Amino acid sequence: MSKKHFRSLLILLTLLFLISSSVFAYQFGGDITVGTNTTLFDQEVETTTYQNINLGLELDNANFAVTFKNNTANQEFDILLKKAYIKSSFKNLEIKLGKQPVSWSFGSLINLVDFSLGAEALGQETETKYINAVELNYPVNWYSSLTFVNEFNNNYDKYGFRGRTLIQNFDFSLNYIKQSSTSNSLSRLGVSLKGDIGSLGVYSSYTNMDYQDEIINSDINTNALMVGVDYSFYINQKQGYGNRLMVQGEYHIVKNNAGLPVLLSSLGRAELPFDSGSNIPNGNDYLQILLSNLNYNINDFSSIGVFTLTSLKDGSTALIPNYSNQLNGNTTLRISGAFLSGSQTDLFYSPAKVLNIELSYVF
Amino acid sequence: MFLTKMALKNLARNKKRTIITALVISLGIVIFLVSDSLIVGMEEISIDNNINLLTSHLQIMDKNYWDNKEELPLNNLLDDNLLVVNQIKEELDIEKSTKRLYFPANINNGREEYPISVIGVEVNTDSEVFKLEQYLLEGQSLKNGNNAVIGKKLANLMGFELGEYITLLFKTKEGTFNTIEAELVGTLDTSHPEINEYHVYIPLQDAQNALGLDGKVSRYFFRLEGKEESIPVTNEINSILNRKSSNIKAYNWEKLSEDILAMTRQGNIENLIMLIVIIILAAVGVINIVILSVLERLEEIGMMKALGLKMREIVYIFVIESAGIGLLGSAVGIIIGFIGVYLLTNIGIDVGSITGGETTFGIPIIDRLYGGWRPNAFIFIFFFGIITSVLASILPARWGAKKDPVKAIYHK
Amino acid sequence: MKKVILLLVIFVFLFSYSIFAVTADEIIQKRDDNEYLKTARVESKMVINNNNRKLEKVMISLIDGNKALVEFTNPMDRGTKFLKREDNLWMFFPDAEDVVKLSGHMLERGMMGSDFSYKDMMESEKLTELYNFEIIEEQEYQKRPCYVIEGIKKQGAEATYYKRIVWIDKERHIGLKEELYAESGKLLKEIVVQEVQEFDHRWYPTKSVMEDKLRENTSTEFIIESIEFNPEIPEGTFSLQSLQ
Repeated sequence: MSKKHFRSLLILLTLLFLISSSVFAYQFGGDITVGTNTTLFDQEVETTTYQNINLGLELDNANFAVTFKNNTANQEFDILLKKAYIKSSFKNLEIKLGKQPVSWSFGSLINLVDFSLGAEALGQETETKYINAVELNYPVNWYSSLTFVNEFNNNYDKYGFRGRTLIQNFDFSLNYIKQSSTSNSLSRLGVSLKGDIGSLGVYSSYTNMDYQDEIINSDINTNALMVGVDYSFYINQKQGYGNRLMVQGEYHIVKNNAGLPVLLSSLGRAELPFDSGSNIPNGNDYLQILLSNLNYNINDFSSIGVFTLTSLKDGSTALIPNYSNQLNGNTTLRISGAFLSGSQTDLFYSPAKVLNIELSYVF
Repeated sequence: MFLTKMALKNLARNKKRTIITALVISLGIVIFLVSDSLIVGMEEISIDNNINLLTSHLQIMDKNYWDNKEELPLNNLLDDNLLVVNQIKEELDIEKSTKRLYFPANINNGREEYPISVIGVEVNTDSEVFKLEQYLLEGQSLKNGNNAVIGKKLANLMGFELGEYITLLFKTKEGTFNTIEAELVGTLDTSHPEINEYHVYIPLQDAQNALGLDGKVSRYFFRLEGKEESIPVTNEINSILNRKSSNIKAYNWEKLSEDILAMTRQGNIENLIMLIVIIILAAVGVINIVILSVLERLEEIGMMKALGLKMREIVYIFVIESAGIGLLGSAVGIIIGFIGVYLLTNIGIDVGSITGGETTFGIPIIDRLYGGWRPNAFIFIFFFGIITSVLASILPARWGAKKDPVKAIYHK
Repeated sequence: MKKVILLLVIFVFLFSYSIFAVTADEIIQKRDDNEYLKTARVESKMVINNNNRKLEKVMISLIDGNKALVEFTNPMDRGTKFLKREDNLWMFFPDAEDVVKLSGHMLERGMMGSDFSYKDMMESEKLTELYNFEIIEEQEYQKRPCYVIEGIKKQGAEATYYKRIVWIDKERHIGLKEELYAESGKLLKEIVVQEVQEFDHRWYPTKSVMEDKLRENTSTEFIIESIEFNPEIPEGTFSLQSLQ
């Protein structure tokens, strides 16, 4: 645990003690995960095992979560403070202060208009989601709200606005995020939309990005567009009591210059072993990426699925299959892998193949 | 002319080598012809199989049914005593026809459910059009009354024995659950995996009653004299149907078995691979023989060059020689190939013993596989053999012809 | 896993239409008045048994007409919340702490695996339009005096079951047992109320088990642990805000 975390935790605990000497309702829980991670790299197999313990405590107006990570490979024992924040309401305004998850996802596989890029990618959350921040939330009516988030970070200043409402049963949001440090700044202004056309789920986002770098004195302004659909099929039965196959597909188009790094960070490296640094093409070309997610529910207890990422320019593809089986009420087995097809000059390239097996118990 | 004569004479100089090379080419050609014949045969068999077991020669159904036929819908059905069908049979002199009602269901054994397709068949006419009876493995074929015939694989999967009752759970057109319980009287082991695993045959009457679709069928099926007739007959039927400006349309087996035809297209890829193998065989043989001849005749080449023969003319000699070998090999190959294909088409080969009775290649086939004729293949491969030989000889011949005449003569 | 939760949520939303709203026409009004939850706070549990496997979900639901807010409390899904308003479904996952609108197709059909089907619940809304009900017997069942009422599907009605027979407690106006039949007369599903309880002078089924009669060893239990009729629901409860 870093000093910063520790400090904020201390402050919060003190605050908590002061504010709520009358804490009645609370929920405590967590999970224990043990897993092995096998990497095949150049015919060399490396296997590491790990144990994670997540603990969470939810009080009426405060929320704590800590992760203890133990990795046998590097003999490291990490404590990660995920949540330590207090909630407070003044009339209609809701305030959250402290270490908290902030995610502005709306159901897409990757999200360029999220507060933290890569907070959620391919249906999984990442550590970048947890930030030290203050969040102000003002609900206008049951479906509309205005949100302001200011992140406290030693390396940069960052804040964001979000307005969210329902237009014709479409979930609509307008987001603005600006992050600046002494040498550069990135601002993103975007809209997102999600709803149904008939029985087809559709969603889209449009982002304008402005990247300024004072050291090399450049100002790049670029746009990114995403459209996606999701749909469920019933297979094995023609009259609709078969097993559900969920299909989701997403198309992104960005300009290479500033859009690509944003796109890649929003992928959050989702357990992908790729090293994209050397493979990022320069210039003003458009980069198109296709993402898909197939998920098949074998029964109530188990499902199998696969994520794919394809760069339409070089055809390189990342394949992330996964399987999960709820062994009993509280124990789940999860197996996932990652395989990248590209060659060294392609976008999705990595010589490593990864297989991850984990067992987690919730309490 | 002199050069040609010389080239042909050269052919006879090392008879053994010429014959062996020619035979290598022949072998390639025979392999090609036989495999081509098998592919043609397989195509025919799988099509025949499909016709006999699934599609018949032609079907008529509602145009809207056609669009959704994979889902086995319960709307856009036809009356089971369509006047136009009788008229078609009379006008076009077709004797054999039947009708079926298809619907999706779950088969249930009290523990598990498995999705299948149920086919209500008209018991007394179905065998005129379809040849399911030939594939009955156990028990008897479908009769009127509460009984069912299913594929052996499905029976094994669900653990059903003959004489037991199977339960089918399905929804009627109104979305209401209904069940059919029928005695299992026979199991089928066809060459068609879909039938073995997914089809349940029950009497048409039972299907109509259970679905509340009295007097309705999904499609009519016709058996013609041969499958060649299906296109003209389909057109004639469609013109009759158009006259009535009805919503019903006829579809021939080719339209109905598009997936099977796609599968046989894969066969063409196999043929292509065979061709490449032949090219390699022939080319290696020819290149080998030309190189050997060149080495053998270096003095000769030197002499010819010294006498003023141009490089082109020397190459010409070798090329003609190779063409001769190609011609010889191709001719022999065609003859042996002809005999092989003849045997294949008339006697066939026993596939059952090879594959253990299971269907292979994804194409439904039967125990005995017969070849088919494709005269074009003979013509094509004959010239192909010769051309390959000629092309293969050019490079090594040029290599030989380039040799310095002096060094060529004194190479020893 | 998300999907299973979703199915259960669908169940809860439909629960507001009550599970056994089946009576002969003259009894139906009383019965519906009793079992239909216009406004309620329900703590419930659903257990899906499939051979030797068991899936248990515990949830707290607030229902008000066609609005509902559901929160799961079993460890696996703790903190997961759903909000439904008319045809809009929103979901909140506690780890993510974000609110996502679900696509419409997620609501279609559903309830696979569990022995309750979506259609089962949807239908109960308009049962008298779909079936002709008739009292066929008066009988003692579970030591209670009951009407045995049979409903036969009306001609042309699009109902999932051809016939239903329901045992309704004469005094407490609750369905104690219901049998659902296929057109062929085969019994497909059976729902048996195992426990009833009185809340605010109102009797309500608190534990019911549905069995798929075509498949051995599968059943779905629905258990109500507590129920509060017409609770005070603060304004703004059914909002995206309260999902967070």
